[in-house]
Amino acid sequence: MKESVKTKKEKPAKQRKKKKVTAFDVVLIIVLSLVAFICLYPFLDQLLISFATKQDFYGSTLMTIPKHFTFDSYKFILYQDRIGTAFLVSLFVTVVGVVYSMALTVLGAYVLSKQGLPGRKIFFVFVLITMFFGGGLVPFYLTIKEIGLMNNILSVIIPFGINAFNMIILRNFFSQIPKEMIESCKLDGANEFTILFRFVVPLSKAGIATIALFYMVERWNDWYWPMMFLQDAPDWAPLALELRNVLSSSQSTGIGGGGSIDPGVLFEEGKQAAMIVISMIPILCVYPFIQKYFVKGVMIGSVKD
Amino acid sequence: MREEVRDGAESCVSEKKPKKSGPKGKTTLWRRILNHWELYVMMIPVVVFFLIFCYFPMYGIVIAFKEYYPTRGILGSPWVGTTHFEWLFSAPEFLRALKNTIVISLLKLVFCFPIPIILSLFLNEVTYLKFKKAVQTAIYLPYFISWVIISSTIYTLLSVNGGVVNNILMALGIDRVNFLTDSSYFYPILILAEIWKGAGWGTVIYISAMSGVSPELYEAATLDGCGRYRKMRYITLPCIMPIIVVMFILQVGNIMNAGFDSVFNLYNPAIYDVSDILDTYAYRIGISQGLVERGAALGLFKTIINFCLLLGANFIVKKFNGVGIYG
Repeated sequence: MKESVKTKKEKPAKQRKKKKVTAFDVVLIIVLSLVAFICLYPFLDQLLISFATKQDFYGSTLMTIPKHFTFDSYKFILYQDRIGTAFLVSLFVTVVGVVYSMALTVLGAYVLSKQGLPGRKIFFVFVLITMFFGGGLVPFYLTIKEIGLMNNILSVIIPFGINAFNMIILRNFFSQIPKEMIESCKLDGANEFTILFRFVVPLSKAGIATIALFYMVERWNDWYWPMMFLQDAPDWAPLALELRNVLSSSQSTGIGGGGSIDPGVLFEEGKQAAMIVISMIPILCVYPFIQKYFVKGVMIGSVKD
Repeated sequence: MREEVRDGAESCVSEKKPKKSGPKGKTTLWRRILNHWELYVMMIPVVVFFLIFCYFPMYGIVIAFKEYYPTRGILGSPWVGTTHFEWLFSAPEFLRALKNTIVISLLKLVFCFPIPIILSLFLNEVTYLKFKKAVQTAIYLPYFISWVIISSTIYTLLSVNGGVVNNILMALGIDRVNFLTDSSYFYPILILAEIWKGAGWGTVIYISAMSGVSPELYEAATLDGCGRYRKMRYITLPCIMPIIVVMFILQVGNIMNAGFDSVFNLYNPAIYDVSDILDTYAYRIGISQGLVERGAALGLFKTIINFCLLLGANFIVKKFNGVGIYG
């Protein structure tokens, strides 16, 4: 908000400045535009391929252009039995996971932000240690096994509640809220829980949105832990894992179905591209809305640390 | 009197009440703890989480010195000493994985580490805010896309027939290349992929550090007749140096983690000789083959080396530079 107000005010000054566009500016803009284009191009390529036919792809001389626009690749993917379920599983894991993670992280971050709380330093070190040490893959795997979470959908949610780094970023946000405000709440008789959820959380919207996006992306993209923990429960495989299975069985004869599409018109890259586009949709939907928060949000969080 | 001062500095809310209580020290502390009981209640779920999912696995490392029986669990399995380490250090795959891990990490340090710094220096010079934001939006995006997708898009770009890269080679009159099965192309592909995915997001921390640089410094430099390049070189860069140093130390402390996700999604058995790293090796022996003790031994080895490197890098940098991780 503040930023936009500023730019409006500065406008007259800027227009004057505009005359002084140097060669440096031009080079800068060209270089950065190129960088941005290169970052986005591979995704654009996938999008184009997903609508292309076999001939469009194999006959391309430079980039693939869907001259014979078709939905066949999408039809093939959407006719797969598992896709709908996998999408729902991913959605469930993401929504429940984010709520769970946020609850834990907010609580921890709030406690960490309380200067002068006896034992806070010990708690901080307790958290910090987890950032630099870990049991490693195997002991973690065995822990999940011994707890009895194996092949349970909760195994890809519960063990991933807190990312210590996110918690510290959020703590920095909470620390910025003036203490006087919190103390005046206390004088009004509010308890810590009320203060946290009615007051501190709404005041740290940028931080909350940023961290929530991190957790969301982590849960949505997670294929690795489902691959390990849901080995014998393929019905619970989320979309990301399904995607990996489709991609890694690169001849993909493994996946049946396909509905009424002539297999002759299908091609590997097209099917994969369609699958990729489908699994990117949720992230692309949320990203622009939260992006404006985290450009500012992460900044505040990290500068203070 | 002294008691009071200490109290005032430490407690945040209730400094007045506990002063009078006769037996000092303990009662005061106890009071303060009681006053904050709600905060301790909040702490409980977090502590429980870390104990179960971080500290118990840390203890689980002892499995590297045990013979694991699933029925007896981590705690009940018998000790067998260092046999698993002996096996590990004599395995040729281990040495290969160790070598590949170090090579990949060093390549990343040389090629992936400086790029976000350069990019953020460029971004910092952009005066049109809208353009800057648009570029940021574009270059952050790959960070939020999973390695599964990243690797697949790279496969498609590089595919022999129809891939853009090979099409360009054709147009230039060069023969088509099968990049993915030739081990000599693995490192360039991996490093470029890492840059694509991570460089944009890597700028966030530097840009935020740059936003903290005092404008007065720039104004003074302008008065002294400094151009933009010199401001960049003599003000911006030195001002973000502490952050660069911290990031560098953290990166060095991560040398044994060459990046499981990227390698696992980009490699294939045909090119294990250059691409198999400690993490993927640990996964294959520890999980796929079920040799959990050996996998754990490998994990422990990695953690110890990483920690030593972290401390070592911190020590050296501190000696030369005066700043370390701890500021």
